[in-house]
Amino acid sequence: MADRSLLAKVVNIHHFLEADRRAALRERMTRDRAIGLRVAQLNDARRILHWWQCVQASAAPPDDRAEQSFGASLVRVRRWLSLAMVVAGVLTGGSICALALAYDGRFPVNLLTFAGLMLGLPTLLLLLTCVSMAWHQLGGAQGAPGNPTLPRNRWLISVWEHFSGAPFYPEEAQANARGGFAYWQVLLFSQLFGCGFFLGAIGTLMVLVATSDLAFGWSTTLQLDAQWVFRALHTMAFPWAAWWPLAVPSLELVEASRFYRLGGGAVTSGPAILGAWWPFVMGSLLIWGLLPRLLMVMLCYWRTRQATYRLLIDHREVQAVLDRMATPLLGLGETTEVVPAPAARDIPVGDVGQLSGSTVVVWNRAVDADYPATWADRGVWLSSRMSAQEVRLSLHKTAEPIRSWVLLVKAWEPPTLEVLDLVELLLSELDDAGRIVVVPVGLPDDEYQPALADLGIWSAALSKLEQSRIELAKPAAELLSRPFDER
Amino acid sequence: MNVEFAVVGHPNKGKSSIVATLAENESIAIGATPGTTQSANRYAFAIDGRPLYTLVDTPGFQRASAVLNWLKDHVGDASSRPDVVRAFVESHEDNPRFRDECELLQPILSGAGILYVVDGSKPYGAEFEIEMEILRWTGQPRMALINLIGEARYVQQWSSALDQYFSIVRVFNAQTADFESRLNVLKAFAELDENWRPVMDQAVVALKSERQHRLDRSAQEISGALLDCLTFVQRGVVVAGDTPEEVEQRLRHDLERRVRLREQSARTLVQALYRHELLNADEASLPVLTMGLFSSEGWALFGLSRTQLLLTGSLTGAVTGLGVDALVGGTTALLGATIGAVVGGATSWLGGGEIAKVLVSGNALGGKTVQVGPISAANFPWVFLGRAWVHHHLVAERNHAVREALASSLDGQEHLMNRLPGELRAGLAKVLREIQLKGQNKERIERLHQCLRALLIMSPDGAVPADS
Repeated sequence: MADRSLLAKVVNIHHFLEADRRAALRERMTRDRAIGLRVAQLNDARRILHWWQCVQASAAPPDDRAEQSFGASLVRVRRWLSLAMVVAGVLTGGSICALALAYDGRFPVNLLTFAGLMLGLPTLLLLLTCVSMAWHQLGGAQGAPGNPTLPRNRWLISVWEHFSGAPFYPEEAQANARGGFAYWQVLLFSQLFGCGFFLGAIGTLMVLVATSDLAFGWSTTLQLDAQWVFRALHTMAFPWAAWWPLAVPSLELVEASRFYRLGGGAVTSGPAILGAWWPFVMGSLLIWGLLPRLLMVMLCYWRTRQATYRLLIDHREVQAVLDRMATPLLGLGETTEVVPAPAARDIPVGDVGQLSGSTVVVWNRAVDADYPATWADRGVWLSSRMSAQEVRLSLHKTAEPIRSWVLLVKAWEPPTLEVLDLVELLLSELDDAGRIVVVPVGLPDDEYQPALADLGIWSAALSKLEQSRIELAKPAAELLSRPFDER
Repeated sequence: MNVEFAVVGHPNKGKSSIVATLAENESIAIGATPGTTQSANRYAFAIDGRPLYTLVDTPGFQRASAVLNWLKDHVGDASSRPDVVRAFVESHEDNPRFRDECELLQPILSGAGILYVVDGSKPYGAEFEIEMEILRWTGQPRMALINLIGEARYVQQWSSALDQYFSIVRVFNAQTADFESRLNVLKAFAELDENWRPVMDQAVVALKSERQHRLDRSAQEISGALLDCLTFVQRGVVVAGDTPEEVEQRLRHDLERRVRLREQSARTLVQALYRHELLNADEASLPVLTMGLFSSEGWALFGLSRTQLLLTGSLTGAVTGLGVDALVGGTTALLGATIGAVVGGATSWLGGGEIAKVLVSGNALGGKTVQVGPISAANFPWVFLGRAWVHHHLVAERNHAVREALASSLDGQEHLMNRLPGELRAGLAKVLREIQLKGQNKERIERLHQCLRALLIMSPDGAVPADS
């Protein structure tokens, strides 16, 4: 089952991307661009979440282990922690409320003490939280003294990691985004505690109202008259005055509820009227205690969600994915499989030796036209511009029977099949004892010296003819000593 | 509209090298033996799957003379020449003797532009005129590229001959051509036919944008790797039988290994960005890049000299101090700047030796924990960036036709980062110092990225020495 929580998705995406770095970049570019083209109009967070959905859909079908994803276990930890905070709040709120409402029948519960404890203190904490939020908003939470590369809230991450049993993130570089997320998450926990606190308090009040004879009054050393207290309480009650008039104290009730401990705690009216305060106390806890905490929970939830989005986006690999989704994919041709050339049989390379008994064939003006003077009259000059018929005619010009050919070719030009055709033709003109010596020649004056590599290329090409009568020879020094005609 | 260009020519003149360079494809077979390319292979340039143009790597002419003779025997007049070429291909496509000729002529007859490749380092020969004549008979737009497999000795000779057969002749060294030269070839394609201009212009724009994008992504990856390395921390508990020193040694070793792995992963990504995925095997032969990241030779080659470290530290400290002076309206008589310079210089000087912070602390339940890191050495980021800079430059400037190992002219030199222009060095020093002292944030990461972008544009060989 896919993780539906945003946090689980974020954590799993980040973990996936850390591993995804090992996949081939081209593969990732193709995948991400294909997804990116479909969701170009969405914002970054939506695009990356859509990307995640597509990546998961194309992956192998999820099995039971998906439940065990790190994101899912983190969310489970968060859920349990949230529940624990609410339960702790309920217990704390209930206990403190029970203490504040302790009533032994001698004196009524002092409303001013109760309000200070159950509303004043929490409101002060709420204000401090607001100040902290403002400080955080202004960037005061960045960086940590002593270890500047880690965020100030790094200890929160450590708690997180302790409960989840695994590192929150393997890399530290997104420290600030994680710090921000941790801040809002802890604030959310604290506000859940606050909500639990007031739920506990309200629950306790209801139980005590139902099961005991609570009596409320008010008492203070300050010189406050009943009129002033009435106005203050009336102001407090304005949010519910319209729809719950019973919970709005009257001046008579206020006047009747004042008591002094000195002198036996006498009040001006009977005990029954003092019980009429409980709707006001309930309204106060609901509206001035629980409601702000609920609003804070909503705010913190929203900011945690924002921080989770930031956590998602402020990751280097996520940015890289977004970049790949937005960047046009250039195809420059597919990778082709490199096929090694078949191994060629080497033709032995020898020296040209004595040319006098051979007929020389010069191919494509491998040497100068008037060369070599001593046997030019026995040389055959052929070129690829000649037709097959012309080649045959030229070869048959020699009257004497031919025992061997010496074929002079340009060393710098690789052998084409056309040359191999010529070699085969020359072979066909010989008897079984005849041989062909192929001589790749260079250029005079060190302009081009045949290299071993050239001979290797010729050797490999000639070996394809599979003829033992073909030899390959290094050019003799005399062949290179003549001037070269660039025609 | 998909335009095709058939890369044709005599065997072993560098056709596949040119295709490899233009298509940025290091997997194309390039060999010294004729016949390495045995069939026409297509390399399509596409944006988001939409093809713009295709390079067709073809086998070389093998029996050009026989082909031309056949064509001459069957031609009526000049207007029928393309049809005669077509007839030749149709009647010989199953003939193994003319397999190569049919392979190379088929794309041309289907409308491909012709890119005729010769080698300007070898003498011109009249036999090439047969090939050029056949190509002229096809009637397709054509240009010639004079490739240089060796020294450019015969370029003039070739140009004079090629000018008679081709409307455009360009010199292009597939091994060393830079990015601009590659774009110029594509622009020349556009000149062959007016109808091809829009797609070729699009291709040029896309390639330029891709080049910028690669530079950006490389800068991001390198800065990311550096920031990661600066946050690495290794912790270990001293167990019975171990001394804190032994644990520290082990943790130091682990930390260095993590840094090396991160550096390697950044290099792999940079190579992949420039489509040099197969380069890894060759890289080992370049000592400049394989010498240990924490070796003293590496630090001497890539980092700042101690004097430069002192100056850079003092400068950034003074700038910070000046800010304090400005805040109090100058009443401190530049005391802030002076103190800043002294503190900055001293920190850089003293921080030059030890690589990472070491912290030994007692545990609540007894025993000790040793922490090594984060890396605090002032010179470490410079060494890291210097190595990344050289590697990026070698990879970015390497053509895909090159099959040899990476080579650099840096061996034997010292303090590469001293060569950076003063402004860039100061900017880098400031942001690195802030990151090491105050931590990372978006603004600092962005500044580091900008500095790296400026760094990667420069060549390590051509950077102006800082001392000059």
